[in-house]
Amino acid sequence: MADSRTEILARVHRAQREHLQQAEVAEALAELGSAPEVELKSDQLVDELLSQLQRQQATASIVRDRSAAVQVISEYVYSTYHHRLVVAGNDSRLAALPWRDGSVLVRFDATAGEDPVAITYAKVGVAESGSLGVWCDLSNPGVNNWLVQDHIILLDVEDLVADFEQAWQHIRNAEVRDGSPRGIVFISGPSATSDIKVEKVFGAHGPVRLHLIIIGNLVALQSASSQGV
Amino acid sequence: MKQTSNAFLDTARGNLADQRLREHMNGLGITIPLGRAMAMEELGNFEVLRSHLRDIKDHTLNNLDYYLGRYEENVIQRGGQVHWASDASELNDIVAGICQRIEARQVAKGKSMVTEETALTAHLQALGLEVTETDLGEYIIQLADEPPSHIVGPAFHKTPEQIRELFLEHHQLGERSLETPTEMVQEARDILRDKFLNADVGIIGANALVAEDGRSMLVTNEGNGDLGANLPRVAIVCTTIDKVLPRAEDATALLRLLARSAIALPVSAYTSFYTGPRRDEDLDGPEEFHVVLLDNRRTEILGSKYQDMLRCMRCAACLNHCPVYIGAGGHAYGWVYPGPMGSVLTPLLTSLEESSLLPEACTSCGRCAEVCPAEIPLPDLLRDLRAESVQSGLTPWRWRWAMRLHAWLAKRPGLYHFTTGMAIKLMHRMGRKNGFFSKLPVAPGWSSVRELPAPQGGTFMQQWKARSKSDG
Repeated sequence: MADSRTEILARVHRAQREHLQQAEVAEALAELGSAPEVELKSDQLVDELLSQLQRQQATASIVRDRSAAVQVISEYVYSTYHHRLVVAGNDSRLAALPWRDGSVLVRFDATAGEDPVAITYAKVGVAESGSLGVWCDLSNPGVNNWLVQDHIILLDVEDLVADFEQAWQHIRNAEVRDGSPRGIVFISGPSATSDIKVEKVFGAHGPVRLHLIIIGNLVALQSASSQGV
Repeated sequence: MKQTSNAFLDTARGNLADQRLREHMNGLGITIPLGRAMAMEELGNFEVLRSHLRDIKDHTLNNLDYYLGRYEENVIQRGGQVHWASDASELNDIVAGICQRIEARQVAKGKSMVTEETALTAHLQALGLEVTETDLGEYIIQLADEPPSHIVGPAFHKTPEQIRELFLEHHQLGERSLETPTEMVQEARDILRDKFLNADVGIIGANALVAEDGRSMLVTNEGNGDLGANLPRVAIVCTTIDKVLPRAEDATALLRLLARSAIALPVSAYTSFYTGPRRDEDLDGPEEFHVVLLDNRRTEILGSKYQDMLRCMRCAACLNHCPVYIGAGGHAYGWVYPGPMGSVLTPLLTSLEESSLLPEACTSCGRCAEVCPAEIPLPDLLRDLRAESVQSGLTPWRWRWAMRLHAWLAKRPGLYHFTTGMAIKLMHRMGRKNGFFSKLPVAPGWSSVRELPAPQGGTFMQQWKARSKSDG
């Protein structure tokens, strides 16, 4: 008696409407092309990203360099918790930040739920939906995305792209450089639910708040040092 | 779950008589479509994008063996394990087998319509496992011991007062107000956090499977599915063979329409792509990563005149826009999938005998097809199922005879015009006094809630001929 795999694939083969060779399948797919381009509401990718994140009640800061990012983290964490303890994955970019300048104490580990704040360095930002692409791997343990109250995500402005099509290209380049993670997550807001009265409540299971720090020299936003969205 | 689709009329009647439910559902039937309309208007290219996705999905279904093979190959290459299940009981046995092998005691389960289809929770509980639904809506109906009434918001039929009562009854936490949704969400979060931390197995669903890299896409707002995929020792993705797509870009293109159709936002809070277990150097993640691919009669739909239904992305737009669903309520459909998509899927996945009333639960208004992001011609599929129902003798004998009589008459134009002309004249004479009929002996149900205006003038064909003559 054949196993279920063989039986299911045989049924699929019998029922499906085409029986193309591998090269022909690839050719047929290529002919279908890609999805129509997304029309962004703003010319500026940063503006688009921030406006989308705002819809999901996320907040953001824009800073010129990594040192300023540490200052923002320090103030953000202290204002809520009256301490400066955070957890972060083993990301070389995070390890290189001048944490001492902001008196921030970082534990490079996977949280077990005792840490209120996690820091993650995004691999890519997607303007069309306000999404921040992060890895689930050594550089950012998956649990750090969800077992905290506050999630702070850093994004280099060079890693911001217009849409998901560009994001996947960016991700494939990063995978060549850093290896392929077991998980890729696009985070677009804090954890939320509308299951009761269709009323949106944050912190359903994961973070109650999401804060983005965009790092880079933005010509259009040079005067903005550290503004909330 | 026990199927009660043929009790549709009785359950719908009960729901319609429930004033509280009426107000609640009517509100949902206005606010959710309004939000979706605004989201689509903002997107701008709904028609172009859905046509593109229809073509991609059709191409994938037409070459499904190739894409399933590619997907399986890539999952295995990344350290995952792929299982194939012909039917519901096989999926349940596979998942139970994994749980028993690792001596699991607690299971954290995310929202998955596939596992509702197979009744996995009850199966695992019967084996002594503690299974906790972790999606808030699913958790609420698990406490209430009820099936879901909506595929995106399973507890949409529950009022905040009912949820509060459930929490007070099931959570032994002493006296507390628990008045607001925020307080209730916080309480559920605390309880479910412990469940996650103690779970041996996490069970999640998938919104799409990507053939080119073996990743499965999971779309959530709560993040409960992600905790299930990252915290327990073993992660199991329960999904179906029709979820596969060729490229990662196709999955995120689908996401654009899925999120807007389901929650009126460009994207959900978390869109995750998982494949394989934790790597050697990782600090967290499951030690084992399994995918169970379920057929459950989908290969019978493939290649049939109902194949378009396999494009369904479970966004619930058709439910939210269906006047019958809003009126009757989700439980009236008596199985896992309610609304227009459920009225097509249920007869195909179970049997037409057990659900012959569902294709009749349609006003043919066409709103479902208008808003469907997968461009599924739902009214056409429902019509085909109704035709099958008549041919199989599943409809009442009076309907069948009326249909036969109509068909016989319609094939004889002379007789048809004569008979309808006489009927119009007769009805005109009988209804002259009031100008309407408040009771029709041939359609008592129809006329019990509305009046039929008495016909004026001749039949349509008589008037058309007269008009053509006068126009020269």
